Amino acid sequence: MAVIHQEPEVREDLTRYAGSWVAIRDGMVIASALDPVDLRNDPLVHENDLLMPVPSNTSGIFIL
Amino acid sequence: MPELVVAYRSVGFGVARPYLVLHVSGVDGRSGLIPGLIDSGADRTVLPAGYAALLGYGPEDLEAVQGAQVGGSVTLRNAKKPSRPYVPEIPHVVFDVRPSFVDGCETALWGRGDIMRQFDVTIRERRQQFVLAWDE
Repeated sequence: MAVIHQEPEVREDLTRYAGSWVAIRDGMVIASALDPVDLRNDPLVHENDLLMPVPSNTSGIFIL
Repeated sequence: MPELVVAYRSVGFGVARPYLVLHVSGVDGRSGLIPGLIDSGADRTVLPAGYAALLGYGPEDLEAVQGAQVGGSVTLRNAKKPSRPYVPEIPHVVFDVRPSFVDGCETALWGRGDIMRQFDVTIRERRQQFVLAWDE
């Protein structure tokens, strides 16, 4: 039986974090840093948080 | 064949796209969630360079090779050892991925050589969904 993916979206606008890494929990940013390892070592960040870079330009068309 | 239907989602940039979140265990045993775009144009999985350290890859674990992207040539640092991802909703289907890390890359791309060998992927652009199907 098909199941709709239930992973939460990122609900917060990440534009102001452009160029940084962010940690996401329950769809919201809980920490940010310029370096991903610094971010993971932040005591606010848990192992199962989603870690991702925020593109420097998020408004254009993606051609990858 | 079991299937998982995944809705296109925004990850904070306003536009819904075919993002898939994978739980990835790195070569040092640490793990985390990584969102990436399903990319049938990528021969293999490509990750922003910062994920190399997060997944425990050191310089000795990576091999620099030249690749090609839409804008021209690019240096890839290919993982010599695999990481182990799985889709959180399908935790019993764990597989190998040898990512290519790219400086300046800002979005993870789940490519054909690993993710799409594990799952049949169907894009339903009109429905803003994609489907993963796998063998039990």
